[in-house]
Amino acid sequence: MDKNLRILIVDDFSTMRRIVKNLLGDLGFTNTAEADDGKTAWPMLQAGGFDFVVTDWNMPGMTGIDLLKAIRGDDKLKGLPVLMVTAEAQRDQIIEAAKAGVNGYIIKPFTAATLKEKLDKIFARFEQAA
Amino acid sequence: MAAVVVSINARAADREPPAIPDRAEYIDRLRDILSALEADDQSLFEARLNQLVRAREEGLFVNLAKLTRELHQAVKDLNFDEKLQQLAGNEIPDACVRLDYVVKLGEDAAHKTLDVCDDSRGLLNRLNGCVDSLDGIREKLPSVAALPIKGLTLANEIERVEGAMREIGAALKVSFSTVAQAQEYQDLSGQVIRRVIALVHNIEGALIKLLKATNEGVKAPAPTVAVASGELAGPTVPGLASGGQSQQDADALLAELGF
Repeated sequence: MDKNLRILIVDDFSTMRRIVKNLLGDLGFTNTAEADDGKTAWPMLQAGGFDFVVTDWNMPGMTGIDLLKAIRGDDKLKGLPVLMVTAEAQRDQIIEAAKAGVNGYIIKPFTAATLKEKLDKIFARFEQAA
Repeated sequence: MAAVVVSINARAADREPPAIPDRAEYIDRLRDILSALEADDQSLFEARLNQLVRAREEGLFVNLAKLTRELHQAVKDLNFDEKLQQLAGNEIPDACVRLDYVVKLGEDAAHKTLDVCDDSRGLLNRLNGCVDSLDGIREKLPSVAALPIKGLTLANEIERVEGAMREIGAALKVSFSTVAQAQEYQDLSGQVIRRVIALVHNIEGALIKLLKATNEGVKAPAPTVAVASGELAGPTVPGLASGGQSQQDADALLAELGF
């Protein structure tokens, strides 16, 4: 997998953005950018250049699920892989995210191993599809 | 509490006769209405019927107003107004400020720790550089046999690397202390949260008293209100039946859905 993938990390808590950024860095992905909610992320995604999105669900402004739906509804972005990393653990929400087209779902608190496992799975699928 | 219930009932006994018509009055009024209808006197029929309806409604309103006043008085008698006012006016806003502070304490500590992690990564890179330097020195060792003076140069190099490693070690020691110290927020935030928990218990107690005073009694707790649509459940808390899924549950669910 291409370690130079450009990844957008979307979370309203700056500490969580730093943690995800560090974990991604440990896995070799150092080309990252950050946004504090969907509203901030959207113009960044529109500007192009991102290959992957890691997003929280519950954020003020624009939530992660709305961001995911916006991505899937956008001709340019609809194929972008989205990994949801969230404390929302209700069955209905997981189903909602799946229906909206999420590529992976991680429940906080999570470990580095879980993040790696989900990333590997998503990349394997994309490589299979390619 | 019993005294309050009694006082409400005692007042009920003193109450003036309700303005709602009694049985005999109903019979009289209904007879009037019926004879007006039988006599085909439409306007009299309407007028009498309206009078009866109005008398009944006014009676209900009078009683309702009376009950409201009595309830208010009963609550006042118990100083609930003051207690609730204090809770709602001071202690709850205070609790919000305290909880905001807890959030800030936790956030500051996390940033401090993450800063140290970032710095320590730099130290780790320098340490790796030292290992590489030592590898380089080892490779030069055979040359010492041919030219003993080189041994001195290598000894100097080793001393330089040693110095660098000691410096890194000292910096790491500071890092560990900083991380350990950053955890002190837990003590402060724990104390603040405990105070807020105590406040929540006080509010719970005051509300239960209020329920009892209003003669409603405390019924079996209502089932947990389902999360309103659009409102998120937030993190799963151990010990609370929130229906939160574990990562394994989530994986299994997604697998079922074809992921």
